[in-house]
Amino acid sequence: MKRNYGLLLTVIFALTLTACAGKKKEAPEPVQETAPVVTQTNNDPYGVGMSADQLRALGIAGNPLDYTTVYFEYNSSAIDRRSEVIATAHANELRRRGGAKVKLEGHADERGTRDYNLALGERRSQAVANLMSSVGAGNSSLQVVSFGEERPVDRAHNEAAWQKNRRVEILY
Amino acid sequence: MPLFSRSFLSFLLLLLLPMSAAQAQIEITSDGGVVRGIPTAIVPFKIVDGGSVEHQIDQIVAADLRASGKFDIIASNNYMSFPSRTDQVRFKDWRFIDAEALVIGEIWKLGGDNYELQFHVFDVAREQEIGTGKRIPNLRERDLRTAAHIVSDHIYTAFTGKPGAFNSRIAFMKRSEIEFQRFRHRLMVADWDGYGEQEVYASWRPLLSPSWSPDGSKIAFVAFSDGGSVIKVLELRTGQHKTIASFKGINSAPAWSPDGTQLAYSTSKDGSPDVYVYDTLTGQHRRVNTHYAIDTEPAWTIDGQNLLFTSSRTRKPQIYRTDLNGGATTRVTFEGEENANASFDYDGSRMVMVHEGGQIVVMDVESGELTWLTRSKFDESPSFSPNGDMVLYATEYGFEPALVVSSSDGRVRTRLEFISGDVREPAWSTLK
Repeated sequence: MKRNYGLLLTVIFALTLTACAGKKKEAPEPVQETAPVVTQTNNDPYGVGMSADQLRALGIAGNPLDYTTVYFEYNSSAIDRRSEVIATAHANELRRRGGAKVKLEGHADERGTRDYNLALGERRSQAVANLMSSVGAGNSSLQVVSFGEERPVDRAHNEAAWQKNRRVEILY
Repeated sequence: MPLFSRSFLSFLLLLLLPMSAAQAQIEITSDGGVVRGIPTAIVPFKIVDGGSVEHQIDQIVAADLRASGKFDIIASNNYMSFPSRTDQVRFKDWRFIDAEALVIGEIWKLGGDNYELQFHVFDVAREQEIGTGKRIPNLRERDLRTAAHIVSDHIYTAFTGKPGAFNSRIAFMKRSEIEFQRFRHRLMVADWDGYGEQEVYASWRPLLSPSWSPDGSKIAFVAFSDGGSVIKVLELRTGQHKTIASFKGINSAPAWSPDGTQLAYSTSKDGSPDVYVYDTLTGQHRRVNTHYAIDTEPAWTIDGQNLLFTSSRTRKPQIYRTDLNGGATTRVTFEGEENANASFDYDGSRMVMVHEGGQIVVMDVESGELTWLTRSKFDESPSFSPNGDMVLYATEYGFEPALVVSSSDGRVRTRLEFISGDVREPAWSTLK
């Protein structure tokens, strides 16, 4: 399983490299001796199937592994593209480490009742856990916890604060 | 066992002095239109043979009666006389200021820490005493507050025919920052008006969802362990507590059955949050429903045969009702996008719940008609007083958390001034 993934990634990597090389050849660029800037030619620098520019478009600057919080819409546990990329990067990292323990801590904003939000927070952390195990993190190392609305990062009563509070924290 | 040291008490009293003005925190809302309470005069009780006492009986009684929404209290600066005994009452003095009910009384200081309280209640229009005068003997000074609540209950029953709720208790959660970003969470109990708060359980992790056993001896609540939320039951007399549900996943929203033998709650141990019932006699856990949506916040019907619960099965939370004997599950609320955290009053004729995420509404069960107690955005945790005439809930004044009691017709709101700090999750005891 693990080996298959590694192989697959290598193949993808190789293909993207050759694709880039092909493009380069078409361009009228006679100077060959200067070393190309590697990051520009690398379409998947962090193993999540996206280039740095594509990541930046999602609000991810640099390595998605440096991000440990993913966010949600109101009363929703749906994973958006940004969350998917971050969670995938962590799943890959877990697989690489082989059996590291991670706690997925789900939270909700203050709207809605506390017991409902406790359940909603769990839904969110469960959704992240499901995604991470589906891309190969291994379910046994993921602990799902919910604090509902009890531990907000921002106590203000506005959408900006609520956005920050509707989250799952990926804690190593 | 005194609740407070003497110095703290006098500090509290200092705080109380400007509070006769602060009692103006009681809002009379205009939602009720022409509906009004019984105009009531409460004469300051005469202290016989001894200067002063620490509790102002007339003010405590006035605050009690006013909060119920059934009485409007006439301020004492309008009074033309200040009788303390039956033979001193001149009814024309009270008709003149449009009083319909009159309360008078005396506090007898019998030496040492021994007091007796006497009081009389009058129907001004009929010019007669209601019942006969009452005596409450053998009081210590610190019992006078409780005695005042007994007076309130007596007056309340005399005019409404229903038992008063002024000797019932409330529970709530309080969060204090012990050092920077390090919080102590405490389960507190207090008199209905917030007086005499006392810590009964504490944790470094959040606490929520207190629920009183029907006999008032135990409180079930949600605490957090390393693995997540768990349900605990605390015995108030002994302080002993035990965990009754700590399944994998969340465990939350405990609610005692009317006979006090079972606890309904929500757990996600089998995947998604569903409602379960724990039998305190057998120790068995029984699943009540199975649905992929969030099912939580169970509440018992007064016959103990059905449960209300909050479910997100139509995506946004609404209230459903399920038959515990294997019958159907039906939707109960249809007005508004969101309804949650419902519970019944003492006779099951009305429900109180959180509407649209933060408004407290009372719903007449038969007609489905809603009465708005608040139109805020962030109010939560409503519960009825034992006699159904008041609703306790959590709100914010400015940015300050507060506990408020509203009359269940929405006419009068009373902020519980004795309680301050980061408070939430109030629950009214079912014990009268």
